[in-house]
Amino acid sequence: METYDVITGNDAVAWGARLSRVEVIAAYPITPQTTIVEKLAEWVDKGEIDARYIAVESEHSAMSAAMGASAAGARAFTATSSQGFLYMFEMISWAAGARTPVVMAVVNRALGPPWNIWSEHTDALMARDTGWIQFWASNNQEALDSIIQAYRVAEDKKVILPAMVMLGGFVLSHTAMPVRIHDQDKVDQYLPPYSPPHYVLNPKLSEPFAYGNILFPWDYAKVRLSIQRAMENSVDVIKKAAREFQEIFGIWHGDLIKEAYTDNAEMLIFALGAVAEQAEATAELLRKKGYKVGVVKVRVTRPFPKHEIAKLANKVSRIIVIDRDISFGWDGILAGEIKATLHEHNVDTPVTTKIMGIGGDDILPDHIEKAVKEVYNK
Amino acid sequence: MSEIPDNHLILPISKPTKGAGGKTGSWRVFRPVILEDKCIKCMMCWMYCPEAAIEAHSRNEVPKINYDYCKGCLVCKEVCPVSAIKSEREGE
Amino acid sequence: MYYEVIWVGRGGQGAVTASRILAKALNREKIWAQAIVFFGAERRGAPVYAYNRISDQPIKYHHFVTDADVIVIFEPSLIKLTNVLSRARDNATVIINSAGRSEDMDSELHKYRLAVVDATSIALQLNLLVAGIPVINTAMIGAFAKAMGFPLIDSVKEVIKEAWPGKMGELNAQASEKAYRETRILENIKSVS
Ligand code: SF4
Ligand code: SF4
Repeated sequence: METYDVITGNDAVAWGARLSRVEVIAAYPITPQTTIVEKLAEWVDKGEIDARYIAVESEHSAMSAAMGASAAGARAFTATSSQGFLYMFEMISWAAGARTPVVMAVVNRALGPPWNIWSEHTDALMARDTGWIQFWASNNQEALDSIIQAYRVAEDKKVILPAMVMLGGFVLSHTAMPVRIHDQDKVDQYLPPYSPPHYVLNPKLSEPFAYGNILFPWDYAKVRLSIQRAMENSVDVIKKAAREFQEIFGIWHGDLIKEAYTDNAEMLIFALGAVAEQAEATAELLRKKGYKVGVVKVRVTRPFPKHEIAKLANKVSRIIVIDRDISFGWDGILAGEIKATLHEHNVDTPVTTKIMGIGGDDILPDHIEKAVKEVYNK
Repeated sequence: MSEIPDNHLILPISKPTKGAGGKTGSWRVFRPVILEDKCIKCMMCWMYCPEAAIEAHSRNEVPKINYDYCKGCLVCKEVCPVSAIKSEREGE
Repeated sequence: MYYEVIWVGRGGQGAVTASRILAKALNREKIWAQAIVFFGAERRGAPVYAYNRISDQPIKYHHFVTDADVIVIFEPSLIKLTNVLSRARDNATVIINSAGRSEDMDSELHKYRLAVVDATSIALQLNLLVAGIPVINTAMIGAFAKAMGFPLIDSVKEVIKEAWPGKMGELNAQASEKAYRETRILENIKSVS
């Protein structure tokens, strides 16, 4: 039965995994992700979900176990954050190459030093070149729903890649807000059980074999190119997954992007996750003050929505990108991606980067308003 | 994009098979030879051979080298605890 | 309807839990509420902040509450220590746990609509102690319900009993109800005798 409750982003993620009927959970605790796996461990312990919980000694092992489970045909889940994410990094890359459709929640947190437990997006953005599909949740409902959508996309036979779902540390992970917890039957209708299209590391089902042996350059490139093809395929799969989600649940979080107030906009703000929703709330105020400002929430950073962004950018005269992250010596990471996209599509709208909210520094509506006004009147 | 393109899921999978690298016996410069009267059947050579070219069917038999696949690395000679393996120049 | 709330307590007094229970109780009445926490160095006794945003519409803001319509203070000593009243809006309601002693009534308080409840005595009367410390957060939610007129005290009690099944929930629900009945609303501090 469908219920409404006021829950944190972390509990919403746990519910997303539960409703997706995950079969194997392997995770190591780290602030601010810990309560996701605590909740799942509690449910496994009480027998409320039919899953195996593998306690591991590190994030590297967590991803190894999740990948092994996925290779054996199970629907696998893990979650991490920040330093734990970096410790897992070798296996993050491996999971994509191995084509194991694991879903992972990443609670975004700044990297040390200096030590900091608050929100920043740099951690997950570091993995944009690994072959994972990347979703960004802008509120707790989207966190829950994106986990379900992520399995749909990751396990699609045209894709077969792992997917990560990001949510801002504390901003969402520890903030409670109303969330609809869907009816299990409806979720089952949307997300069928995982049926591996390729290999199953299960001695009962298949002959013994080794996976990922050395390949020479002429063969290696073919295998890596196949990841690129799968990413290209995933664009349509993500759009379809979002559309069908809306049909069944009546909720639209966007597909690769979500637009707000973009009609007749003269200026667009681009941002990720909760920052984008914060910008949307601010744009509502600015519209009332006469500023023709729209917001584009970039919901998926891999595959990067190049066509969608170029099309919208072409219609406006100014763009600002709010980055809660930085690539040292380059730019805000999202801004860099958008600038490259516009160049590729011959769009010459000027783009201004605004780096804000580093290490959890609060992003107030005033900050966004000031940034908009600075660029708007230029 | 209605049908599954055949090039989006290519996986490097290897199954166990005899002589995956071909008949590596031709690589040899030196050939290991087990001296049956010195061998104590400890199976160290069998365990260490990187090509699994040493065959042993029971603890009571002196292991046998399969010269079709032995590549002449002489690891077996190195690990034998009683120097029961000698090496000979190939062709001599 | 739009309210922003600041809860200020000391580590261990349960301000964070109070903000979440309040949001859950409001949700039962189809009122949209966020409960936000600031986690810093969690030390027992150090000042701790929690926040709510309350509206009849979904809220898209994700920053901490800066200025508030309601400020809930778990102990009079926190007024000077945190300077929290500098964040009160002009028509703010301030809800304070105090036995009503004159030295608790900071001169700043007289600017606001004030609700006073002796939550510590309520906890002691009910023997509601955890690790020897009186539990006052559930009483403060009762005081909130009285001072603001929402949510219904029954919603508060139901959520409390769900959160702590058994005796603990029963006692906490009693504390919230007792506080609801005993909270005094003072439009002006000068009327405190
Ligand atoms: S020489 Fe090398 S390959 Fe040949 S049997 Fe000895 S260990 Fe094996
Ligand atoms: S290592 Fe030497 S002694 Fe041992 S089985 Fe081989 S040849 Fe015989």
